[in-house]
Amino acid sequence: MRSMISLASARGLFRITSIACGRGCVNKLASMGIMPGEVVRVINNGSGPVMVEVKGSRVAIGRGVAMKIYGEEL
Amino acid sequence: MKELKVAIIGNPNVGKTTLFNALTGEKQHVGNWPGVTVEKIEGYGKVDGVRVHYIDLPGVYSLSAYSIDEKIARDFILTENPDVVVDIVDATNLERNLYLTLQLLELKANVVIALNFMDEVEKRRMDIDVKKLQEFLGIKVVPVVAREGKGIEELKRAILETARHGVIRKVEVGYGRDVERAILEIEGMLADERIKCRHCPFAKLCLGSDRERHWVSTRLLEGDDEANKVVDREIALRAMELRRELEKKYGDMAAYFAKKRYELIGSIVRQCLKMEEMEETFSDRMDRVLLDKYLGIPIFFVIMWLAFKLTFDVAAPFTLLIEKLFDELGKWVAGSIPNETMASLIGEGIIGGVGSVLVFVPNIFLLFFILALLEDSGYMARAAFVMDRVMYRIGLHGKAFIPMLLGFGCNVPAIMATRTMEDERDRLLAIMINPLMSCSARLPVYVLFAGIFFAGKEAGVIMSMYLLGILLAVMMALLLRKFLFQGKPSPFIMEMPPYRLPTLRNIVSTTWNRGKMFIKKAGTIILLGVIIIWFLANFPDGGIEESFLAMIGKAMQPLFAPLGWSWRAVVALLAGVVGKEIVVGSLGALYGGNLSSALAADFTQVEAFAYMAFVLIYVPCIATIAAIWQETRSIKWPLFTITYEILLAYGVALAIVAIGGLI
Repeated sequence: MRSMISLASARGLFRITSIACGRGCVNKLASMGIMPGEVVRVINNGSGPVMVEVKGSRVAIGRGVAMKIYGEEL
Repeated sequence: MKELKVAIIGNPNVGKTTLFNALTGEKQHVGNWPGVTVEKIEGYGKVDGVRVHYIDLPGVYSLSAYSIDEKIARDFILTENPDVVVDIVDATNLERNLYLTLQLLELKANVVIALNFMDEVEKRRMDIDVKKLQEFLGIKVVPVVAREGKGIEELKRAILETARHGVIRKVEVGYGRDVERAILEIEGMLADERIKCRHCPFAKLCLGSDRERHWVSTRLLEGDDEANKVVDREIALRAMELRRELEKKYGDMAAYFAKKRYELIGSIVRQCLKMEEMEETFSDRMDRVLLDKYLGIPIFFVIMWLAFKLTFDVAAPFTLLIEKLFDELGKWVAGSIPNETMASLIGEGIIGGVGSVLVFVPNIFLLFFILALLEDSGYMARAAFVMDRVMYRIGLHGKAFIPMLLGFGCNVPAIMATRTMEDERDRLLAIMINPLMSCSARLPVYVLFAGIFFAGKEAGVIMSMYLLGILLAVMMALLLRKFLFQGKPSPFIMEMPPYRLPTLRNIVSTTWNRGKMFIKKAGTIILLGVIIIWFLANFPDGGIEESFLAMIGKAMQPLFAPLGWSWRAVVALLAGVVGKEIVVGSLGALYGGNLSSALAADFTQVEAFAYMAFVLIYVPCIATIAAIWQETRSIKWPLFTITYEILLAYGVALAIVAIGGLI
């Protein structure tokens, strides 16, 4: 089911299908390994930024951006 | 061999500073990159008798040039052509770190990899086949443990060898037939002499070599705005056309290029790295508590309160000592100079004035020490994480919170602390509102006036000043976001580094490098300021009543008549520009005798409250103005801050008097 990463539950896996933020933002995310096709682990998702594990590192994504990262929970 | 130029690059939090220190020793030059506010650190070292000039590039994840840091790093490599680029790679996080490496290789730089944190690799039961990695990447890979100084000599040798012989083998990323064909077409257009690049800032270098042509065509297809700017319109349009076509088939090109790079990295890493499935790490367990939905914010405030208290409590005795020292020194010098004017200039003016600023040195060094501690341990990133939500609402970046908090101590280090922010506009905004955070120098003024006019209610009245400052800062942030720095704060995307034990050496060196700037730069400007004020207060006649300062005060007084203040109060405000605590001293000198009763006779309660508010808001002190100037590298921003703060101060004071008159 299509969802966004801001709705994903902590400690679950999430497969990214598309990212709808601006070009600079897409590029920055991609350089950190967050891009369509990637499976990331959601570490923390409370009321602030969403923290994910991707390619061995932890990255915090502000909620504004997190709402634009679509995909599905696995 | 001539002097070697070696650039040091790497992702943030890979131990870049530590390695840089190990390579250069203590002698470093800290400055800014031309035109921007990003810190530039340079140093020198020697390898086999060859002098090496090391330049520390900003910590970046890629060379896309979407942030100032990335642009600086990329421009430096393209235009300065360093002999060698040392890429520091976090061995515990190979995959993500190699992304930058690959981009460096695409730029055809002479890269040497310093594979840092090799000790942690063993601890985590990972195994990296360094020889294989070297073979796949075609460049020298040197394992190091920077904080223990291990592998540094080997690294130096690898630098020298690469400078002499270049990389072992050139590696290319394959982007697939369709994309490569498009790259080739653009390259052809760029090589065509009839189409010249018009706006390239590096006219001579611009697209002159195969290397630059290849890089620029790749970037054009990736949809890079910077690349678009440097090429002819015709080429940019064709590139866009090609990109649109490719995107129909392959999806977003930026993501496509990233994917291809990561594919190559993935295949390399799979063959060089053996690791066991990672269980929950120490960092994850720490984060579960420190970033908790409910506990996160309270814990953050406790840590900040501790940091704050430590800064001022530990500094207090030293501050007192310095104060006493300058006091005695001033008296002694003044006493031993026969010429009365000279004695006054040197004793009261220079020594007293400079001393009143140097008393902040212990505070500033301690603040920087604690900041470096929090930064090195990995907590600073968490603080930004925790506060991001609140800050976003008022148009500020999550990272702006720490500088605002530090402002309660002293605005100078607070403004310097905004350096951690990547986006220029976010940073400027954070700097502009910082002087509204009531620093400790303003406290003596509040204490004096609250004691006289609000006896019994001092604490509440003083507190109201701090709250007023915060309120105005929030208001200004919203206003500036709306009119000057339009748009939203840059997206919050931040790596959370693993928690690491900070090393004392590193923290001390960071503290010293940042702190000495305060002594040097602010010190020189302050010196000039106090001499001017002293001159104005003592000439033409010697007595303050007939001095230039008094003339200015009397001339300006009508401006402040609606607020009900006398010329003496106005003069004190003028002197307070040097440092706001000087307001108190000046009032003492101007009124003479019993200050409390004199003030009580000269101000009404409402006027006194308005005066306190005015002291809170008006012109930041000289040291702060200097800090804003130095950090923004432009006279425009300190002037803007001064202007808006004077207008705001006057408006608020007038509103207080008006509303007070009604009650």
